[in-house]
Formats: sequence, structure tokens, C-alpha cells
Amino acid sequence: MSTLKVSNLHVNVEDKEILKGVDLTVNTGEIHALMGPNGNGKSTLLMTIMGHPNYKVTEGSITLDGKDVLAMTVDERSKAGLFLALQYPAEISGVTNSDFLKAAVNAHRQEPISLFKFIKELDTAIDDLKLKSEIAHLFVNECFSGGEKKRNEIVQMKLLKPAFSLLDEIDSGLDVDAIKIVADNILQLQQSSPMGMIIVSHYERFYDLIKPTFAHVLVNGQIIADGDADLVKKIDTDGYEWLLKEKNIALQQQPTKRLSLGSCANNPKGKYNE
Amino acid sequence: MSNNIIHQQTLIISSDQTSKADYHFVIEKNSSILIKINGQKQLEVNFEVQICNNSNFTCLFVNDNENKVVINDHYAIGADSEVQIAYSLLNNSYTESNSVYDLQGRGTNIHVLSASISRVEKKINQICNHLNSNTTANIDNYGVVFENGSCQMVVKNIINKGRKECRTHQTSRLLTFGEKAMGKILPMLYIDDNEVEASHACSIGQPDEQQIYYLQTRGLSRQQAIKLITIGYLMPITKVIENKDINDILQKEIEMRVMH
Repeated sequence: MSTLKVSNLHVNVEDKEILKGVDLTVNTGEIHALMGPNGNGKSTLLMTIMGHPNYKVTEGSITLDGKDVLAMTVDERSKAGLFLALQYPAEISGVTNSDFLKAAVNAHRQEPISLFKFIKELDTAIDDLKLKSEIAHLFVNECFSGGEKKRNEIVQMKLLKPAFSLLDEIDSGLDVDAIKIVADNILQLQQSSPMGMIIVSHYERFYDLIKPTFAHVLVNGQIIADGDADLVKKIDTDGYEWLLKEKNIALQQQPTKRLSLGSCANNPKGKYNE
Repeated sequence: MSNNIIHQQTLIISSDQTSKADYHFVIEKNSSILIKINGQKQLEVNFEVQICNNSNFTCLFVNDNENKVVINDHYAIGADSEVQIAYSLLNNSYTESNSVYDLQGRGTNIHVLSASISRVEKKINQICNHLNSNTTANIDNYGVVFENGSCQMVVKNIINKGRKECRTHQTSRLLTFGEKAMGKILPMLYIDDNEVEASHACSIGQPDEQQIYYLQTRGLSRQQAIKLITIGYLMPITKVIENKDINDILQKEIEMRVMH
């Protein structure tokens, strides 16, 4: 069994503190649902674990079986067994899905994978996620629908077989059937090589299929409640209001950013007309 | 020196044997040529190419020289010809190519492509003259500039008055890595007739850091991610080359140069 441990994590983004002391321990074989209102730090937590340069850790630690994750580069974290399915996967023109995935698989191996074995695994994963077969030869995520991008993330997860998977709203953009396909594939992978998982989603429908072992609610950068699948059901039925009242917490409003489009007005007096 | 080019000829020019080489080719019917430049000394190479009417000609320059190279090539192209000229300028030394394409005959199409990697200075100068009506030119230059490298692309497409139904397009793109990487593109269209199509596209920019991060989250180091993005940036121009053998050579050259 492996353990991913987040301790007293404080994270800044553009000098604003987003995470204010998060503690979370995930063991392989466990599925943790991470919920909370929009803009409260869920994606920040996942991106920080995966070393995104925009997220600055100011205090706390992240360890993987006792090893300091924060001292690792992004690719080292991947090789150590972490995987992040992004909320908005990048499009990479000119790089085919198969070239990218072969490079990724080989990065995790001592010896390069044989072409035959790789093609077989890739084709199987694509077929399992009910994606069109030619997706292997398309450029990474380019001209993919939202749902195809998300399923492509799971194809990558299946090939890389990580110890810990962080799924950031993997169900957004998926239709009813696709949600079931993704959930089935996640559970199949759990059966064959148990992963520790942190899954961010807003919808009970997806959690109902995944059946999380633990649930957490992240508000204002801190985990304010822990539970199990029952907590997920309650949030889905009653929202977050009851929990905020119970904990006597007021949601911090995100400041509205004013966007200036500038002005093309040409006023000889240099002032706007009254 | 005059030569008739036969199909699939390879010409190897070594700077270790000469500092200046002049070639005059006459192309008839269907021909393709691979010109490989290698060696460790400075070299100037001049090509005068006359392409006869109704010819189909593909040419690939591969510069593997480890010292300064200047390529001056001039093409006089007859009527109803299909011409593809590609330049692989992926070596690590100063390279300057000065190319002039004179479309003399009606109904002629030319496609010019270049892939360059600049770790030092590279200069690409191209002039395409539509000297007759109903001629078509497409020029696509793609380059990657690394730290301390520089690349300048100057591309001129010229359609004078009276040259009707000409189509002339150019695309020049540079991807720069590092704060000291310099890119400069001067796209020019000299158009003096109304019954034509003409366009230019030009971009210089740095790679999207989100792309690099995405590749790193899959276990690729930053350097590996940059190499993959570089190959992806340059490889699409090979899709345009119709000659499969030339195409395969250019693809392998790009992969080999970038990955090693």
C-alpha cells in the first residue's frame, strides 16, 4: 500500500492565499470525493500536488510514501506515480496522440516499450473508452470535443497506470453514456491495479457510479467536513448551505475583476462628454 | 557545368573538398534531387536551375555542414510545371539561403518549404517573381529558434501589372525558446494587378507553457517536452511534399536533428 499525505498545505496564487491549511491522506485503493463550491480551492489542491508552477506552496508538505513531493519536478512526480486528469487538457498541434503517449509510456519505463505492445495497449484503451480509432493519429486534443478530451485523459491514465490519480471534473462535458463508460474504466483499473484517487466533481450521478470511500468538502481553502458516500448524497440533495450554517462559515466572495477594454473614443478635449 | 537531372539523384557537396561550388541544371519531365551539404569548412554553393515546360520537379536541400554555408539558388521555371523545393536547415552553424523563383511560363505551380532550427544565426531570403499570368506560388517557412540563436526570414512575392489570375501566398512562422532567442520576419507582397489572389501569414511566439506543463505531467522532462513540441511544429510541412522518398528523408532528418 502507498500513501499520499498532504499536511497543513498553504498555497498562494498570484500572491493571494487560496489553500489555508489542508490536511488529506490518501492510500492506494481508496477513492476520495472532493467537493465544494466553485472557486474554493479544489483545482488548486490538485494542481499543487502535480507541481503547476503558478501555484506557490508557502507552508506545509506533500509526501508520497514519506518522500518529499514538493522537492520533485513535475515529470518526477509523474514517474513517482502521480497522475492528473486536467479540467482543461491542453491542445498540442503537430504532436500526434500516439507519439505523445509512446513518449509518456517510455518515460515511465527502463526499457522502451515494443511498438507492437504499445499499439495493442493504445488501441485497447481507445476502444474501452469508445473513442474513434483514428484518435491515435490526431494531434493531441486538437479538434476533440470536450467529452473526447476527458476520455482521452482516461486513455492516458490506463496506459500509465499511476499509483495516485487526481481527476479534476472528469465528468464535465460527458453525456450520460460517456459518464458510465468513464466510471466503468476507472473501476476496472482500480480492480487490476488499485490506485489512490482524489476526484473532484459537482455531481452525485458520477459519484454514485464511482462509489467513493471518503468524501471531503473544501470551503474557503480548508476542508470543513469529512464523510463518506452519504455526505455526497446529502450535498447533492441539500447543497452546501446547511453545512456552512452548521460550521458557521460565510463563503468568501471572489472579487469581481473589472475588465477594461480601453477606449477608441477620440475626444479633442481629452474628456468624455457628460 | 550543365547536367540533366535523372529521377531520384542524390548530390553530395562536401565543404572539405571545396569552398565554392557552382551547378547548372536543366530539368526535363519528371525529376527529383536530394542535395546534401556536409563537411566542416565554410562553403558557398550556387545553383542555376532551368525547368523546362511540362516538368515535375522536387528538390530537397539538407544542410549538415558544421561551418558557415551560403546557398544561392535561382530557378527559371517554364510553363505548366509543378515544382516543390524544400530546405532542411537544421544544422548548428550559420546558414544563409538566397533563393529566387522566376515563374516564367503560364500554368506553373511552385511550392517552397523550409524547416529550420537556429542555435546560431540563420537567414532565409526568398523572392518569387510571377513573370507570367496564371501562375501559383505557395511559400511556407517554419523555424524554431533556441537560446542564443537567431533567424531572419525575408520573403517577397511579386506580381507586376498585367499578370492576371496569379495566386501567391506565403506563411512564415517562428517558435522561440528562451529570452535571448531572436526571430525576425519580413513578409512582403508587391502586387500591381487586381485580378490576383495574394496573402501572407506571419507569427513569432513562444510555446504555450500550458502545453509544456501538460507533457511534463505525463513524465516527460522539460527538454523532452520541448523536443516533442519542436518536432510537432516542423513536421507538418513534410505532409505537403508529394514525393514520398523526399518526404521520408525530410521527416527522418527532422526527428534525428531534434531528438539528438
